[in-house]
Amino acid sequence: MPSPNMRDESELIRAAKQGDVAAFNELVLRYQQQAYNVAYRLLGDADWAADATQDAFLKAYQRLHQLRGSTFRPWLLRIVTNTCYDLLRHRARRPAQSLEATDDDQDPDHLPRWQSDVETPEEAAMRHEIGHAVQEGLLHLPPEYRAVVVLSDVEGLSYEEISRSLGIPVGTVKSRLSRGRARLRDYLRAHHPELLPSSYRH
Amino acid sequence: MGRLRSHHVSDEELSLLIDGQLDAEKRRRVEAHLRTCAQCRRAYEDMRATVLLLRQAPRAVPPRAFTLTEADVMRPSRRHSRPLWLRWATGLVALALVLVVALDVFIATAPHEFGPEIVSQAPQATNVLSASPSPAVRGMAPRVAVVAPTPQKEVSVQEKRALAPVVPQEASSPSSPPPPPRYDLFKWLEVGLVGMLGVLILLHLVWRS
Repeated sequence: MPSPNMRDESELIRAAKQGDVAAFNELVLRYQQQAYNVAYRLLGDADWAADATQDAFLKAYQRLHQLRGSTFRPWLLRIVTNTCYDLLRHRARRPAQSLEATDDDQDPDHLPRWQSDVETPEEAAMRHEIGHAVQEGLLHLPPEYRAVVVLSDVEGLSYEEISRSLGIPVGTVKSRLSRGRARLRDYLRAHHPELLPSSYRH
Repeated sequence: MGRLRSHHVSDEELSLLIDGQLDAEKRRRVEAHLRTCAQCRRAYEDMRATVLLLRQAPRAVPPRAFTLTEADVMRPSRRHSRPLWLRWATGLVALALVLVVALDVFIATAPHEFGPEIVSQAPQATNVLSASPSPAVRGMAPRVAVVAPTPQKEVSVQEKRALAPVVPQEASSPSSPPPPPRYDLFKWLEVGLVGMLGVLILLHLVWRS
């Protein structure tokens, strides 16, 4: 039996297609956290991520007529990733590598607020350190690999959902994911070996 | 470091193993290899740890709600909103200009098929050698190189002075034989297309802002 949320969603989409902005905004509230997180991980900058997310939702509203039958999330994430690709191409790249040298305090605009979990301050600090290291590594990946890794391992999408989100065959998803993960692993080995098990043993 | 572990397990197989996406037969083979090969085992464990690190990364929280206002919905998208027709028009005009110039040059440099035109072009061509640079020279330089040695030179020397004022202008001069329609047509086409292209480029720039 369909979950109430799914039924709600198709009704919201139907209403939004007919120009009901409030219905569309319901969808925005449901998906904006995920959209923003993907954008941040793809771009590495909180301000850019906010611009890209706003842009993506606006485009999604304008292109609702193109959404036929498929579910909202992969379709929305496709718009988000394409918007991020465009942003990466068109904006002068601030050296993303500067994130390595930057303190949270020094560059508040480039860092987002983080979702706080029930954890001790030490655990939170550890997770933040991991998050930074991982983000550095992600920014060293080519955008096509980065997108697949983010959708799979940060957002938990399946191969099929990623395939639909990015408009690429599942085989390509698999190969880009494996290459992205391998490169990220090699980056961490080189720059943050303490995070990986191979450093504990000899 | 060894991504090229040729007799070993590939990164793609390791990645699929992590996701439980290997069929039973392959999985058995890969796991058997990992039991005996330290290098591949390290590669696998580090990749698996990398995936776990990604999963543990904190989630970024949106700085505000991204809901749309009525104003957002009314306003057309600002980014790269140059209309399609403008792009098509610019492309076609540019292409037409290139074709016309190419055809112009081709006809000018193929004297055998197009005898009469070349005769009256020769004076203007040689005129260019002595005249100061003018906008008309732009399309004529190639012709100069080829046409100059033709036997019509005697004619050209007489025409030269009479034609001096004609070269900078595109209109035909009363003291020279009227240029054949085809030559004139090319000049007009080129000027017209350049003008159109200029206008379209201006529109592009205006639309950008």
